[in-house]
Amino acid sequence: MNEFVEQFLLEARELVEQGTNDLLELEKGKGGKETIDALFRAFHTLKGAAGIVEFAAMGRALHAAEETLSEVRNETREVSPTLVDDCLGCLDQIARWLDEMETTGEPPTNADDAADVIVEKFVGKAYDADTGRPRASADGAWFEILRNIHGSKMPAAGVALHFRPDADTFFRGEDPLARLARVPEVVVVDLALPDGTLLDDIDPFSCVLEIVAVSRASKDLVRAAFEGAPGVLDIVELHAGAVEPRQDLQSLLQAQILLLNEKGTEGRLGRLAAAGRVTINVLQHEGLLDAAARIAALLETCLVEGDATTLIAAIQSMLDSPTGVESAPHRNTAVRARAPTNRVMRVDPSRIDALVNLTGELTVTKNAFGHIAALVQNGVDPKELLTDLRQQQARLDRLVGELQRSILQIRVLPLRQVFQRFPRLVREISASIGKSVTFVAEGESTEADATIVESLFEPLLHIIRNAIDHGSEDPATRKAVGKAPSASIVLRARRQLENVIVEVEDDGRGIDVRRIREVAADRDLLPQASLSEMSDNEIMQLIFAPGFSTSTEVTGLSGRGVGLDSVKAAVERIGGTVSVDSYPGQGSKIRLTLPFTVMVTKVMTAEAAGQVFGFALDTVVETASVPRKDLAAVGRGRAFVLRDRTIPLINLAESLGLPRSQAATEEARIVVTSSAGYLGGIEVDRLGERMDVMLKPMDGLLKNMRGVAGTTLLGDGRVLIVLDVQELFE
Amino acid sequence: MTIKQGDIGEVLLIGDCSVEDADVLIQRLLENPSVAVDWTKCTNAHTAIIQVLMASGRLPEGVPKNPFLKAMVGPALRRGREANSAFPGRPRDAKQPNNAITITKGPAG
Repeated sequence: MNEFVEQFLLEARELVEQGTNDLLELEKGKGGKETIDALFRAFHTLKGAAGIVEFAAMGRALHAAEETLSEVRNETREVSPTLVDDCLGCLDQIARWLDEMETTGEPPTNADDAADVIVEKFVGKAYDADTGRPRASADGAWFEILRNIHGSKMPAAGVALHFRPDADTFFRGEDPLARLARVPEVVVVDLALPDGTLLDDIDPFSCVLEIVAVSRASKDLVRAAFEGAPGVLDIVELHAGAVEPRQDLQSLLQAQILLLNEKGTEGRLGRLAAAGRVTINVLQHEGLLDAAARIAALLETCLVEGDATTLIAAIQSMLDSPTGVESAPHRNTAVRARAPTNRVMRVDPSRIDALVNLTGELTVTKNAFGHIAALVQNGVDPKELLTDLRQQQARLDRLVGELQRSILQIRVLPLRQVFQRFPRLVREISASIGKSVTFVAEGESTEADATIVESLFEPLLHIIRNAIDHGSEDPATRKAVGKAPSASIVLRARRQLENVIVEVEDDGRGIDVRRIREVAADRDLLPQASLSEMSDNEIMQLIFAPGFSTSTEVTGLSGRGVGLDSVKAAVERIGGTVSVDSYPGQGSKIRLTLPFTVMVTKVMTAEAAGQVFGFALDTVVETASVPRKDLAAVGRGRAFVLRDRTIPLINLAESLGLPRSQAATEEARIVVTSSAGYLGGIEVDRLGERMDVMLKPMDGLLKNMRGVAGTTLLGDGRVLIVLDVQELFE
Repeated sequence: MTIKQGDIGEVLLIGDCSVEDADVLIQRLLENPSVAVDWTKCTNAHTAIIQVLMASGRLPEGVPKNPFLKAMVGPALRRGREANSAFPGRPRDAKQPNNAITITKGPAG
């Protein structure tokens, strides 16, 4: 991706965000003159930026919006909800284009349609106002159809029009087609009757015909021709590039090349002349007059020389040139897939400075080692150098630690990056289901590792959507129980030691624990006995259980539970946990506890079947040695008793499909782990040590491998596989 | 009278065909569902005439004198006959204009 585009994407995203925030402020009626000014500036700057990367469609769309906003700024227009919607829609579209650019590295070539829609929104409304005429079809469906049928005939500039005369048109002495004949430079006309009109039921004096036409003339000329005509006129301005790929033009030109390439001398000149003529006509028809003239000149020389080579080359170059005659596949190469967000990071310069300093100190340390090595080489007794070596090693240790911390700081992003997308979404979701929601985000400046921040959006969206959809009551119900009509949803973040806590709190109806018990029992999620032993709080956590997700009836009754297992999965993937708290009638609070960083993980190692494996230390409760005779067979598995608790036991080698070591020790070495609130024992051959590692998640084919959390390199170069304890027990 | 009968029974559109001729044209076309229409001598045709031609699905023969009819309306009628390239009409009942005026047709002739 070129540097300009990179910079453009960065700035444009910020401007889109800023614009969105300003618009939301305005909608709340909070923003004053300053907000309007800021909003206008955002649109204006975006337009300028679009110009720099030569993204004409985006410029056009923004220009239309900017014009309208300037009226707001001059106080000749009010801020209406429609205006806010249109502007937000415009920014949405721009965000989509930016996504596309992020993958392709260049402005999308097929953006004109979308730009037209935006321009229509802003300009189209003004047009309605000054003619006072209703619009035929606000969705412009006819235009799409017209374009599909006649895409190749669409001129680079001009208008497409759709006219539906009133039924009594003929009685008023009107002749709609005669009016159309007065429009200059009509390129194509299409007529349509209502579906299935037959000759015997047509009334000759009632007009039911619809007229669609394309002309190179200006909008004003078309309007003048239809001035006062009784009926509904809809005009769409065509812009350079607004035309679909000229597929048939392309195939025509290719056919000429084939013709010219044909071997055999018979009728050669005739073929040459014919193919040349067709090419010229085609180009003229498309309004590519320069190109046509070029071909005409070439054709003459070719006819004189009797050689078609230069002509073929010229036509071919037109087919190849991106500006000349584009082919459909060319235009559609843009990959739709959404690239991972924020490939470019903005970093505080002071953090970079810290790294530069560290590099300096590391270099000094490195030189010190060189010096020591030289001393040894020169015959100095290594034992004398031991103190020196130790000192340097301690120094290196400190520097590496600092380096690690500094790098982490760079990877850290404020949660604002995710949070700021929600006000807009909450507004949309709540409007779509007719609820009123007040959304508050707190602690946006709380920081977390970029990986975590970036993967938080989806789970949060899920939770918030749930809170709006199921958690909060409709205004009438709220009023009846004495709550404010507008439900409140708070998205809150804070740092707690090594964790980042993100909470979504609503003041809705809360979770009906009784219902969850019933449903869990109905579905055999857990045996009845354990269900009745569980506390209300434990029961509530069942909303995250996979079996709980799909039922709509649970949703309706409990107010919660649609696919919350996917939230749990997403949060656990980044090393977090999720829990819920709720008070009937007062609301619920879903809490995500996330690691501040995903980079350094404390692990404990253990050996099984001659291999070293790691366990994330936070899942390890303790280690124990249990005499083999105390291991009891329970069903198909085994279990042991530790301080009066029965804990299920698995053998690590066995569960990984490795051969069990033969040497049976008197005592079994067991790592007691805890995951998802359950204790479990893992029998290993030997217990290892604790260490800090940079865990590399599995990727590629191994990405979905179960039971493995990631890998890291050991000091001796071996690969340490760190196991996912929870998946081992599942 | 600008709607006439030709030597072999075909319907001829001659000169300036006005809205009044539309009714006559319908009658002629209904009387003889296979009759051909020739507009070689047509200098102008009112929208009402074109509407009838469109509904009849018949393609007028010959090349009319009027350049707009020749270059634009002719091809539009031709495309109207071909379902795949025709501009689709609106659903019939859904969007009938509210202010439609119904006129009862008189008997033929």
